[in-house]
Amino acid sequence: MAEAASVLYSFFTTTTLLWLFIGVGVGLIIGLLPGLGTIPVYGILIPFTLHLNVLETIALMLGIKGVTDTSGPITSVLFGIPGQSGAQATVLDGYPMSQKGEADRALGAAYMASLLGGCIGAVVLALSIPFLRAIMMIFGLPEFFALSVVGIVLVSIVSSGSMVKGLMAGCAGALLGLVGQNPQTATIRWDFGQLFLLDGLPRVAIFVGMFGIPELIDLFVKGTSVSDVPFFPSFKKIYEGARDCFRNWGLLFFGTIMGLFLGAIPGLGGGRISWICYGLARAFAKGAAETFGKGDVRGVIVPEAANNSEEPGMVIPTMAFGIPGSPTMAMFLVALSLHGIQPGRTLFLEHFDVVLTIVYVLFVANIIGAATCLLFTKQLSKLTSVKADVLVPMLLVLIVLAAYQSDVGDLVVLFSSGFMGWLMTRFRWPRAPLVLALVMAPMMEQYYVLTALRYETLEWLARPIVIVFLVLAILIILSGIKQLREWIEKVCGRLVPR
Amino acid sequence: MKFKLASSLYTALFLFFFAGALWTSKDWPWAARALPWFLAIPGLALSSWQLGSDFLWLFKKAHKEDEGTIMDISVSSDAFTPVGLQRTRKIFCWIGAFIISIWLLGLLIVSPLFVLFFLLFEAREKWWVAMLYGTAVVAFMVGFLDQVLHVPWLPGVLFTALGF
Repeated sequence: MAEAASVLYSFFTTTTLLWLFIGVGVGLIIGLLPGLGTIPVYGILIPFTLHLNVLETIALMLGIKGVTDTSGPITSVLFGIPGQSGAQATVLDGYPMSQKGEADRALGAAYMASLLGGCIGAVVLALSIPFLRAIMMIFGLPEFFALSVVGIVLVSIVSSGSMVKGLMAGCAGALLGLVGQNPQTATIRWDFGQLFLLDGLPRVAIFVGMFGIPELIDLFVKGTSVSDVPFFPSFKKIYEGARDCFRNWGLLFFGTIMGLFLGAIPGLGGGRISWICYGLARAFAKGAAETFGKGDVRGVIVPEAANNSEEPGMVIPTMAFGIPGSPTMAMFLVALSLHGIQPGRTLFLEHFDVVLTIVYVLFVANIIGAATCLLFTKQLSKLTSVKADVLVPMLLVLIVLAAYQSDVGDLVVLFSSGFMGWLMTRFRWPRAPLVLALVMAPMMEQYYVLTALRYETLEWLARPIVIVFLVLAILIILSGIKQLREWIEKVCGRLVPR
Repeated sequence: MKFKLASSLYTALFLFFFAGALWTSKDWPWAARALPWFLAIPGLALSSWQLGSDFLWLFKKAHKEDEGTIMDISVSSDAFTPVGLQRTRKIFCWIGAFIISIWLLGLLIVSPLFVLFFLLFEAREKWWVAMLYGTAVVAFMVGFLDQVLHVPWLPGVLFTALGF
C-alpha cells in the first residue's frame, strides 16, 4: 500500500503528467483519423523515448494507446466510417442514432462507456495482478479455437431479418478472410499473382470501404446532411447518453469484463472483441433482437466499453509473460526493454512501480481522454448538420487515406468493397455478417490447425473452458435457430396456406 | 422489375463467387482447401436457394421472403427517385474520376485537387472556401502524413511514364 502511494506520488510529477497529456492528445487524434493506427506513431516515438525516463515513456505510450478507442467512435457515430477497428461494431447503432438527430446522445454514451470500461479495466488489472499467471495458463490452443468458433457462429445472430442472405454474406466474408497463405501447408490461396495479397486482403480497406463508401454515397444522394431532422446539439442530450450507461450498467459491466478478458488473449484484437461483445449482447440482451442495428444506445455502450477495457487486458500477457497481446504491445515492450525493463517475474519483483504506473496511466488517461472528447462533443456533433456536398469530398479523401497502406491494391480493394457494400445496402443484404466472418475465419483456421497438430486425438474437446465456449456457441446457434425457425415458418406458411 | 432483376443478378454474382472458390481450390492439398470447401459448399447451396427465391419473386409475384428489417444501417429511399438516381450517377462519376486521377497523377496531388474541384463545381461553394478546404488537405497530407509519418505515396502512371 505504501509502495502504491509512493508510486502515485512520483506519477503526479509535472513532467510525467505533461507526457501523459501529450500522449492522450496524440491518441485522440489517431482515434479520430480512420485507418491510422498506433503502430506507425509508436514506430516514430520509440527512438524518441530514449530521452525520457521509464515513467514518462509509459505515460506517453500508454497515454496514446489508452484513448485511441475513446475518440474512435466519433467518425463511426457521425459519418458511419469506423475510426478504429474497435469502433466497427459501433457504426451499426451509432450512425442510425445520428440520422435520428441523436449524435450527441450517442457520443455521450460512447465516451462514458469508454471511460468506465477503461477505468474499471485498469482497476481489475490492478486487482488481478496476483492471479495473472493462473488466469493466463488456462488458455491453450483448443481454447483459442473454441473462442473463434463462438465468434464465427455470431454470424447467425447478426444475420437477423435476412437469414439466407446473412449466412451467404458470412460464408463469402470467411472465404475472403482466407485469402493468402494457408498456415499448415503454406499454399497460397487466391493471390492472383499479387504480392500484397500474400498476407491476405487488407482489412482496413474492406471495413472502411464496406461501411464508409455506401454511407457517403447515400449522404450525397440525400443531399441534405447526416442528421435527418433539424439538429441542435445540447449538453443535456450528451448527459442523457452518459446516463444511459448507468441505466444499462449490466451490459456495460458485461462489455467491460468481456473486453478485459478477451483483451488478455494475445491476437484477439483488430475489432474482433467488440464484434463478439456486440453479437453476444444482441443475442442475449432483452429486446435487443428487435432494436439493435436501428439506433439502440445499448449497441453503442457494449462495444465501446469492451474496446476500452481491452487495453488493460492486453497489458496482462505483455507484462506478465512477455507475450504481447497485439503488435502495438510488442512495440511498447521494445520501448520498455530499451530502458532495461524486462517483462515477467522480475518485473513484478524488482520493478513493481512500473506495473503500478501502467495501471495509473491507463486510469488517468481514460479520464482525460473522455473529458476532452466530452468538451468537444457539442462542436463535433454539429458536423452532422453540415450539408452533404461539403462533407462528401473531405470524407472521400479521408476514406482513401485511411485505406491506403502503401500499395495501389489497397485502393482497388477499398473501392471494390465499397461498391459491393453499396450494392448490399441497395439489395438489403446485411453487411455485418460478412465483416464478422472476415475477421474470425482466419483465426479459427489457424487455431484449428495448431490444435490438430498439437493433439492427436479429440481429447482437447473435454477441456473445461473449451466445453464452456462450445456450449456458448450452441446457445448462440439456438438463438439464431429461433430466427431460422421463424423464417421457415414464414416460408412454409406461404407455401402451405393455413 | 428492373430492381428485382438487378437484385437477382447480385445474388447470381454470389453464386458465381462460391462456384469459383470451389473450382479454383480443387487442386489444393486437403488441409488448404478444407475450410474453403466447408464454406463454399453451403454458400453455393444458399445462393442457389436465394436465386430460386428471387426468380420466384421476379416472375410469379410471390411475396419476398425477407421483408423483415435487416440488422444494418438503413439507406435513404431518395435513391429510387429520379433526382436520387441522377445524384447516384453523379457521385459515381466523381468517384470514378477520383480513382482514374489517382492512377494517373498519384494520391498526393489528386486528393487536394479533388476537394477543390468538388467544392467549386458540385457544391458551388465560394472559391476561397474551396481553396481553404483544399489547403487544409494539403497541410494534412504533406505536414502530417508525408513529413511526420513518411507515408510512401503512389506515383502517378503519367509521371512514371514521363520519367519523373
